[in-house]
Parts: sequence; structure tokens; C-alpha cells
Amino acid sequence: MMWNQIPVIIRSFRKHKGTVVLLMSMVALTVAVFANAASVIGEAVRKSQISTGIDEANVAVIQDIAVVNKGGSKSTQDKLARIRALPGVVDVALGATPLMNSSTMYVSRAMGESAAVEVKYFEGSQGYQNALGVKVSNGDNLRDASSPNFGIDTAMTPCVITAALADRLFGQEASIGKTIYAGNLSFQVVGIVPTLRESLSLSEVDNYAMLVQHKLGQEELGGLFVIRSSDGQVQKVLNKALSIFRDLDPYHVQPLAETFEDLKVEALARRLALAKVLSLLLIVLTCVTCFTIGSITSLWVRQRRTQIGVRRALGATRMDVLAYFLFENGMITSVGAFFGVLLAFLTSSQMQKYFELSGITWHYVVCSILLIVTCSGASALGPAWRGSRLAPAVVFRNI
Amino acid sequence: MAMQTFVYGIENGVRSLTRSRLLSCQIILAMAFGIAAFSSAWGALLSLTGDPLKDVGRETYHPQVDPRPLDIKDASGSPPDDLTLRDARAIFQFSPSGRRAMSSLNWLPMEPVEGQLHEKRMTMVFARGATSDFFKLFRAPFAYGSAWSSSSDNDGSEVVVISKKLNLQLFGGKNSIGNHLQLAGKLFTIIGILNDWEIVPRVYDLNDGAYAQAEDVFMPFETWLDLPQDYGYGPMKCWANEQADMDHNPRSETCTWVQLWVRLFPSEVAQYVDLLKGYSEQQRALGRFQRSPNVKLKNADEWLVYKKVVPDAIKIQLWVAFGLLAVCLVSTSALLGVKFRGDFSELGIRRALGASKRQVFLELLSQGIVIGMLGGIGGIGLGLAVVRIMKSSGQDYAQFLGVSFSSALFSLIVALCSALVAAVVPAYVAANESPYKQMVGR
Repeated sequence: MMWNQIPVIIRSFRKHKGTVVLLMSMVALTVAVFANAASVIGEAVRKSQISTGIDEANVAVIQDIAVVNKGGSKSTQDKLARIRALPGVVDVALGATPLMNSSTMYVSRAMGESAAVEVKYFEGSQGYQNALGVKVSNGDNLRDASSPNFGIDTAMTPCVITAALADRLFGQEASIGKTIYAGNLSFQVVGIVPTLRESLSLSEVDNYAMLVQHKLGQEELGGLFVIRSSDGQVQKVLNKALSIFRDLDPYHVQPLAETFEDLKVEALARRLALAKVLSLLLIVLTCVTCFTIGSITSLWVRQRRTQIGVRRALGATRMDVLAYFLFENGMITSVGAFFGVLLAFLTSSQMQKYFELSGITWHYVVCSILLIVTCSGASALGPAWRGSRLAPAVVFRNI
Repeated sequence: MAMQTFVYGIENGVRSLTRSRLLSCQIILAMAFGIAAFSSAWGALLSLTGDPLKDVGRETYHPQVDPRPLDIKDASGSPPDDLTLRDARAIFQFSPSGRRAMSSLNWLPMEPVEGQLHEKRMTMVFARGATSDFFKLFRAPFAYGSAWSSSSDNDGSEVVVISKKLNLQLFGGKNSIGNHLQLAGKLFTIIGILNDWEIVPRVYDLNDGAYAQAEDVFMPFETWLDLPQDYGYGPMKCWANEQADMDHNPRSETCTWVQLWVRLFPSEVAQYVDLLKGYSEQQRALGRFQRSPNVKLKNADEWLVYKKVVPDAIKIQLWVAFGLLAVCLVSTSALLGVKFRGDFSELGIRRALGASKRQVFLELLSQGIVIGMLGGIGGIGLGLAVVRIMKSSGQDYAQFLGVSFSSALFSLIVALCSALVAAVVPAYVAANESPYKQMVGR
């Protein structure tokens, strides 16, 4: 019953060519802009949900810099012991957290192999793995007893690697117990951790990481210290640890003392700020599209009062009239959305040339279309409903 | 005559807009939303690209040469951003005193000294080692004192110039010339204090973020280079082998890190490029350089473009804003078509009473102008609100965001042009409809 209205609708389109084309291009543009902006917002949101694999809620980091010619009285071991004794501290070690630009290494399965894999190298003192709160899913944790001393490169160093890296290096083979090489250094894989990411990127390659521990003697070292607290204590523990650093040695400087969650917020701030502004723009975009479609449907209903009256008098039901206008709206939106898809992918490929974006996927395009079609239908519903309520008698009286 | 038509058209436009208020509001709102999105993103972009050196930006140049061995592959083929110490010292000599500056940045520990309003513990401060003309080249204004003399560049003078902010922190903002700072274990005498220094982006060193805060301490280049411990030497990049990276030796001939800027008059530029090429040739003959002369001489404005200082976030926002503006334009055009159709009976009577098509067309266009004007003004207002939201993002560039008068004016022009473009087709259609049909309706 609906389908025989199509020729009527198309005939009426011919009378309003200009407006119909404008509406279609508006819908096309809206779909393209919406899908692209939504994918930027989606990327920011997904990035903020990435886990670096450490115990993010309970980890804090302090940077401690030693000043020249002012020998400190305390060894790094002493500092670590003092902090470890604080109530609420689970473990502390010398080493970096993710998001601090850890060093990169090229590792391979055989010494000197050219096809090396780029990995993030997390290196710390005894207890580093525990201080980060990274647990193995397979194999053993790193043990203090088997760690070689700092600065000794010849020994075989035990390491844990991420599952992604194990997969990349060894595929289906069991990786535990295998040796991997980086230049003249060799590492024995003792355990696999599910995730350890240096940066908040969506790329699997950034989940290639290895973690090693070295034994600390009585030397005095500066650098980054990772502290893990028991649940909910992190800010308190960070403040106390910082005052220990300051009390122990006035010739050390601590320019950075932050919880990991704060570091993460800073790392994400730029993209989240963009996401906020883009969301605002998208709300405005949807509103403009909706009220334009609403106004124009309303005008069309008014222009076709006589037509509606005739049709109603000839036996069309109210539902038929309502359906007619909604169907008309649906056709315009569908054609517009079709061109919108092309435009969306075209814009996305252009934007990827200039910006570090993962680009749109079908999800975003389909969701944008659904949203625009629904909103457009909803905006047309009001005027179409009023049109369907017109009584034929009233229409003819006023003709 | 034309003027009269125009004024009449505007009057008529306003009258006609007040007649169908809801529709007019929608049209103006559509226009305003589009302009708001555009003006906020455009204003933000302009306030971040800025013009850090004002009129002399085009005359301040950053010379680059390429000392790298041939086996280093670099897709872009551009020479390194910075210079090795040896090349920097040689190229420094090409310019007369007063128009050249070498500098670089690091981080130094500062011990509290008697007489400072400061917490009683050490802190780290950003320190720039620079030759004396640096301040003049980059228009740094002094509140008290002055820069060191060019002879102090080399004689190991332990003097510093400090920022207004550090002076406020340590000395409560008073004239602290003659006071001391204990930096990296050495005692320095303050000889100059800067005033507010507006340089956005900080073109002379874009490595720590173009919108990061300026450094707090400046000291003579050679003094800075001879500090007793390695606290970093700016953006050091080495290529010889891993050992060179580990050594972190600023005097290494395989590490670039010195930032050199010179002021050149337009007539000197070509000659200066020849000097750089000649120098590269000479170094190649000596066996230091391997590549055929690969030199670049970009001025400050070109350097900002080359280093892509504007955050991607702002550029992405501008793309989306353009999209939104396009949607709003199409919407305005469609709604104006509807509106003009609503005025058909009146237009028909006017035509029947002798108004020409052209007059009717111009009159309808002037309605477009009124809409563009109102939408533009509203849009700039809304745009300011959007910028306010952007400023609350907590980013280092947020404090510099704003909508300047000129960018607001440009947005208004964009609004007027957009409204005219949007009005042309519906106005043409309405003006060319037969008056008879217009009067009886369809």
C-alpha cells in the first residue's frame, strides 16, 4: 500500500527540486561530519580506557635528581628501605612507570638476527615488577636472587615479556625459558604478562614490552622511583615518601612527584579537551539539521493542505497521510545518507593524511546514519502529524 | 539610486523578517551556529600561530646545514633542526655582532641563597645558555638592568638574567640586581630582570612545546657550556654510534643541539645562503661533511610552519567547524527558500505594481545581508563562549587562546558572504517566478 505512493512523492520532488537537493546535501554533509567527528571522539574515549597493565590506581612516581659535588649521605638502598617501611607501601623500586618515555630496544630470537622487533624496555631495581603491580599470567615473576647487578651486561638477565611480544617472537611455541637477544645482551624469558604499555595508543605494536630487574648495591643513584600503595592510600603514601626524600638529603631535588592516575590524565588531556569541544559541535550540528527538516516539512504540509483534503475525502486514512510525509522524509534522508557515506570516507582518508587518526570505521558511519535518520524522522513527525489531523471539511471550507 | 534601493531593501528585509518571526529566528540561529563554530576555531588557530616577532619575523632566520654521514637515511631529506657546536660557532661568525644568537636550554638545580623569599630547599629551573644578542633578536623587554655585553659571551662571566616570574618568586618583584643565585653549584650575579615577554609561540626553541612557559634563567653561552656537570644540552641528537649517545658530549662533532638565529636584511639573504653552501663545500673538502651542500635558511614564520606548531586538536576542530558551517549554509539556503516562498503573494503584488525582477532580487538579497549580519554577530558571541570552554582545557596553549578583533571581523565577513551565497539561489528563483502564479499561489 505504501509503495504506490513513491511515484507521487517523486512527482512532488520535481516541483521542489531546489529544496530537495539542498536537504539531501545537508543530510550528506551532516552524516560525513558526524561520522568523522564521532570517530575522533571515540578514539579519545577508547584511549582513555586503555590499561597500561600496571596497578594504575595505586602507583605513584617520584623523580630524584642528585646535584653535582654534593655527595648525599644516604645510599639509594637506604632510601628504598625507609620508604618500604612506611605504612601502606606495598613495594618501591628504582625504575620508570609507563608514559615516561622508557627506552626502546631491538630484540630478536637469535644473536645478531637482522629482523629485530622494537620493544619498550622497562628496567628497574629489585621489586620493580611488584612495585608496578604487573602480574604474570604464565610462568614466574622476576626474583631478586637471580637478578644481575646494575651495569653488568654480560650476564644472562631474566625478563618477563608481554603476551603480544611472545606471540610476535615465538608464535605458537612455548616462550618460557627461551633466550632473546638485543645486540650483545641476552635475556631469558621467565614469565609472560598480559599487558604492559608505554603509551596510550591503540596499536598492538605498542604492547611489545619487556621488564627486567637489576640488583642494587650500596651505590647512590638518582632517577625515577616507583611506589605502589595498598588500595586507596596512594596520595598519602606519595606525600610521605616525598618528605622522606627531602629529609634524607637536601642536595637531591624532586621536580616530579605524581600519582600515575594524574600522569594519565595529563597524557589524555589534549584529546579529551578536543572530544569535549567536538561533542558540543555535534550537538549543534544535529539541532541545525533537525530544525531545518522540521521547518521544511511544516511548510510542505501547509502547502499541500488542499491535496491532503482531497486525498482524505477520497478515502485515505490519517495513517496514510502521516505515512506519506514520513516516507517522503525517509527518501530524502536515505539518498542524502548514501552520498554522506561516500563523503565520510573521502574526508576521513584526507584527514588521515594530515593527522594521527585511526580513521572512521563502518560502525561510526552506520551509527551516524541511524542517528540522523531517526532525528530527521522525529523532526518530520510533528508537522506530519498535524497534517494528518486536518479534517477534509475544514480544508475545503477555507479553500 | 542604488543606495536608495539598498536602504529600502534593508528596511524591507527587517520588516519582512519580523513578520515570520519563528522562521527568521531559525535562519539567523542556523547562521549563528555555523559562524560560532568557525569563528572559535579560526580565532584559536590565529592566536596560536601568532606572530611572535611582529614585523621582524620575516627578517629573523634559522640557518641549517647537514653534517650527517651519507648512510643515515632520512625520508624528508631536510638537514637536522639544530647545529653541532663547531658548525654553530663557525656560522655565528658570518653575521656581524648585534644580529646573531646561539642558544640552548637545560635544567639546573638551584640552591636557596640568603635573602631569597623561597622555600628552604633545592628546586630545578629551566636555564638558557645564550649569546648576548639573544634578547635583542627575540625582543625580550627588560624591567631592570640589561643583557651581558658580547665580551661576556666568552669570558666565563658568572652573571644571569632572570624572568619576571622568578624575580617575583625569589625577591617579591623588587629590583634584585646585584643579588645572587646558586645554580649547579656556582654563584651567579643577577644583572638583568625581564619584564612580561609576549612571544607566542616561542619560536626560538620549539622542542619543549611551542606554548610552554619561557625559561627562568639566562646565562652567557660559554659559561653555561662549562658548567661542572651534564644537565643536558637542549635537543641533543647524535648519529655516530651508541657510545656518542651515551657520552652526551656537547663538543662532539656528531651531535647537533645548538640553536642559531640571525637577523638578515632582505638584500643579504641570497648572499647568506651562498655562505652556508660555501661552508658546506669547505667542510666536505676537509672530510667532515659527506653530503653535497644541503642547507636551509628559513625565517621565523616559515620555521613555525615547518615545525607544525599548531596542535592537531585545533586543526581537527577547524575541519569539523568547516563541516558544520557548510551544513548551516545549506540549511540557511533551504530555509530562506521557504521564507521567500511564504512572501510570494506580496512579491507578486509588488511585481504587478511595476517592480522589476532585478529590484525584487536585490531586495531579497538584502534580506540575506541582514541575516548574515545578525547571524554573524550572534555567532561571534557564541564563538567567544566556545573559546571560553576551550580555555578551560588545562592545556599549555589554552592561556593563549582568544578571538582577536581582526579574526572576529573576518568571521563577520565570512558570515556576510555565506549569507549572500545562501540567499542567491532562492532569491533568484523567487524573483523569476511569474507574478500571476505568485499571487494566486500554487
